[in-house]
Amino acid sequence: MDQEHPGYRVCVVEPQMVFRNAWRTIVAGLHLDLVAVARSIEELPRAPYDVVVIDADGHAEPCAALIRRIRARLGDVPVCAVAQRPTLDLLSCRTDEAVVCVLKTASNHIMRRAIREAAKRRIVQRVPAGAA
Amino acid sequence: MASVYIVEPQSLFEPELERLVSLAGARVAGSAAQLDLDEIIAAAPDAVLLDLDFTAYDVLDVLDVLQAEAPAIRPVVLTSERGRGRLDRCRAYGAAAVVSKDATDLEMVHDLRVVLDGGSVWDQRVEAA
Repeated sequence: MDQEHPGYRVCVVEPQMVFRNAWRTIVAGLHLDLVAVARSIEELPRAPYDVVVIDADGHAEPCAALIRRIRARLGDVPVCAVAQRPTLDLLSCRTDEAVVCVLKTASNHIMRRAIREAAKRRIVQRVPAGAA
Repeated sequence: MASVYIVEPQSLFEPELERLVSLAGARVAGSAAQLDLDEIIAAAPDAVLLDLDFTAYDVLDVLDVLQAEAPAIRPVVLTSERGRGRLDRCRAYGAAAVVSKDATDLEMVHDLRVVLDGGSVWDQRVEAA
């Protein structure tokens, strides 16, 4: 971390408890600061984050619904959605400009790059012309 | 030193399982994202750690093959799936252990140690409806 590039505050939603600690190694990289790992969206500490990483596998809801729930809890935050397979459910989330999708077959380097990329995609609130 | 073969399709998490095997005092006999039963049998580990969630494989089929062709290899099933009777079915097909992914890393290390010492682990969280 340096003054020009402060670390992005990252939190992770990982339902597979046995793999929670794995994220400490995966996220340990340049400009990334792992703040929290939660088992569910409800367990995410309410705090400001630059990006939320969610393991989208094993949930009953579609990925888009998970992202909506994250934002309902934390406000408009970029999301990095991680999954084992490139399902239509996962890929459909790519239409959201503040979502990056990445597969679990990615190396740690690629995963960190995806998280940084998501963190850069701050949500832009567009005001319709003439609304001001 | 006892050895464990790891099958973890979520390759992102393979290093974590390797770490846990090492903490259990065993060596990693092999590690793969794709299930290859021939390779597992050829490696002849003391145990095989199988995470077949999010794959097309039926764990009972895999256990059946291992029981028939490599009964000395003790299968440890790691799963996030739940359902009544699941433990009994895995036990009937030769699993040495069924561990829920709700386990902490320390529980996982403990369970691996139990299996490598000849015991069995039946994680009741897998039975929850």
